[in-house]
Amino acid sequence: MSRKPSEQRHRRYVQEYVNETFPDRDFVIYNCALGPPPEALTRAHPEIPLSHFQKWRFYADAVVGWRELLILIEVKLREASEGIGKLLQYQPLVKQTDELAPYAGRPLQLRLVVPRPDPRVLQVAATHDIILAIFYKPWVGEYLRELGLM
Amino acid sequence: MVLANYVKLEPEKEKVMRFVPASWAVVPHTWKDPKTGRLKTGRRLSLDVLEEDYLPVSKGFSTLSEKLAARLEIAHLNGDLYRYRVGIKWTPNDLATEYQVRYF
Repeated sequence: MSRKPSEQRHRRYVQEYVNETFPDRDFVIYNCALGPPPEALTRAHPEIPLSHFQKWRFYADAVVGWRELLILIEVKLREASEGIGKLLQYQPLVKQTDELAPYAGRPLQLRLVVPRPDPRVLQVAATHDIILAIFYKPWVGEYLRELGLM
Repeated sequence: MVLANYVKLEPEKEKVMRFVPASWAVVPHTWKDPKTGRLKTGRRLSLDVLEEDYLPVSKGFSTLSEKLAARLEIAHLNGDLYRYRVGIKWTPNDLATEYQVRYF
């Protein structure tokens, strides 16, 4: 019952990563809305219509509670470098997310999950304390080969 | 309070459920679009619900949303959908509607 194959691949990849990496997790939230609710943003920025904040909310691929850590996860099957910017933008929003308030005391870890190493991305990620996790699955390799990216 | 034998999602409020293993069913469905009045055809995902907001129930849950169904399908295939409690938060917004899903 998939919608777009690209979206479904992305969802499958993040769920497989979380299941295989954190089998003993406390919880996982997929597609986690981050930051204050749109109504609060409109109160703070009355010049911008509410619909803007409703339509353009930020969603993290996953937030995992694991061994006293809170882990913010962004996965990128293709453009690994885009994930760094997203994680940096999402990081301060975690503390402003009502649903994550019970975990505010936990150290936050940022993770970018990609299927293949790229030393350029690795270097930038390390500069920003982002863990670059390489998670390869044969079906991902097939997909990247189909695109001529591997 | 309306008595109903199905679980209904409410906007911006997480609904926590436990699903009956192997109750996953996707069936063709026809309905009238409330905006255009036209008949639409699609598929409906339905599941049996064992627990709603931590209380035991015997209800059904169904959705016409391909987006939500696709999100749950992976968890159905790997078993997470039945192994954990599932919290679904619906943010309705026309084509930009989103579903946040928590497994815990």
